[in-house]
Amino acid sequence: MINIKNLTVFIKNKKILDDINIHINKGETFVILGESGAGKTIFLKTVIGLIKADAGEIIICGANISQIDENKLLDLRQKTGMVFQSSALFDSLTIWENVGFFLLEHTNLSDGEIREKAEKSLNSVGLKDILDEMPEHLSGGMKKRVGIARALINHPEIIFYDEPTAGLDPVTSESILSLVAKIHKEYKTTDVIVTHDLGIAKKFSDRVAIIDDGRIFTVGTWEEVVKTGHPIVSQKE
Amino acid sequence: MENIITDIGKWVEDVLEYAGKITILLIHSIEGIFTKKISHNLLMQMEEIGVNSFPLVSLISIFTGMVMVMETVKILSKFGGEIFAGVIVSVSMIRELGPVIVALIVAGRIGASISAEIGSMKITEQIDALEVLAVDPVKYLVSPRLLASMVMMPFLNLIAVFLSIMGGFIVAVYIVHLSPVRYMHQSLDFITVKDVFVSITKSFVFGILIIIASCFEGLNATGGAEGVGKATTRAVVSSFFLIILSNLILTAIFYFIK
Ligand SMILES: Nc1ncnc2c1ncn2[C@@H]1O[C@H](COP(=O)(O)OP(=O)(O)OP(=O)(O)O)[C@@H](O)[C@H]1O
Ligand SMILES: [Mg+2]
Repeated sequence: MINIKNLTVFIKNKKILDDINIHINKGETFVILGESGAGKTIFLKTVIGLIKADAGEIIICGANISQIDENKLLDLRQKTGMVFQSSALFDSLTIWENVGFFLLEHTNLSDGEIREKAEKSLNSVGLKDILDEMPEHLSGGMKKRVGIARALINHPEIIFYDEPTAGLDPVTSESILSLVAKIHKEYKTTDVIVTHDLGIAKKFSDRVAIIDDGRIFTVGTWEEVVKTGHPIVSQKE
Repeated sequence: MENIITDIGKWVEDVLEYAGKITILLIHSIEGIFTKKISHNLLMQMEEIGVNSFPLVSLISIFTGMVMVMETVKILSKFGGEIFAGVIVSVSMIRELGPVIVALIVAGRIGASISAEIGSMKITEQIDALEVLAVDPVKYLVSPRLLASMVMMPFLNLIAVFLSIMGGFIVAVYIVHLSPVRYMHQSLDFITVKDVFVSITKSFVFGILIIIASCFEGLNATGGAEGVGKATTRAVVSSFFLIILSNLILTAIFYFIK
């Protein structure tokens, strides 16, 4: 499903990602665990083509992200969703316009039809009656949910989550995580989650990779990864 | 000595790099004007750039016209030429001051707000989100603003010229007691079609530069709120600089075109 070979990224002449090789299978929940500043966000953004790789190859759904043409890219965007660390809702648009943004921009559906689809998407992340609210009026946890609803609108095959629980209190974190798990089941998505939260890796992952200072330290099931004794997994939860 | 040369070399390199990046952004956003449906955004931007700048532009233009008449009448009266006060206002406003004043006002207002708005979208990952949703951020954010500015700046500029003449009129007629008919006559008589053309061209170009320079800073903001603040400052400073520099170049060009 996703194949990453020898991925290297420099930002302002600093090596941020160093020779990363990862293969992610269809339907699995792949967790990338790393401390703050390890390069997790840069990794995700490179994989989805927002940042140009300086070396290496990234194949998603059979397409090489660095050589993709515009039509194929639109197709790929439709098959993938991204939930951002900061939610990244458009603050000048209402909630339904945020969730239905892809459809507003790329289809000829009427506003009514798009509202309806947005509502469905919002319902499946547990939100009701906020179609006409503005993002600034929502709590952090609700914004995260709206972000997930936006990623879900096209029924994607792959969803990338950047720190789904960052900045949330433990109770809200827990509810977001069960939402992620529920969507995984219902939509049969392949999930790529980057986080510093051990709990996510322990409870939800099929496989875990540890990223440290831009390098992949190890890849394996949670039990295998714990055995390596890397400081990030040997700390207390 | 060697240090100075490498410093200058670095500076030239930076300037060229900036010019290159700005040009690429300009071409990209012009493409957007022709390829993207930008209608609903466009009206909003026209209101923000044109209509909302109107009060400040009018006030400053009227005051400028008043001041110019007050200052010049004294000198002109030494050789009995008070009546030419109107000419001085209109001629200096239409080709030079009008476009520049309007551009500086708009750069201060709009340049700052655009770079802050786009800059905060950048640091909160909204620009990335646009790309993930297969929308080109430049075409979505820059193109409508660019088109709005291209349309509104010449209008604002002509309004500014007219209002400064009217500001001068107030002083000339009610304080200096010149003949209102002759003041207006003198003011408008000396404006040629070429002057109007120069004026419109300048404000059109300034409008482009303000938008591109400000959007550029916003799109390249990094860090947190502090980064947005820096981007805003840079947007206003570089807009001011580009306005003054391009005014010099345009004045020189029109000087040689008969
Ligand atoms: N625009 C930039 N310019 C310079 N360095 C950057 C830039 N963006 C990121 N970096 C550096 O790249 C490294 C990885 O950043 P990244 O945002 O991927 O970290 P992260 O693992 O997502 O951390 P966090 O958990 O804090 O989100 C960091 O050391 C950071 O300082
Ligand atoms: Mg991050």
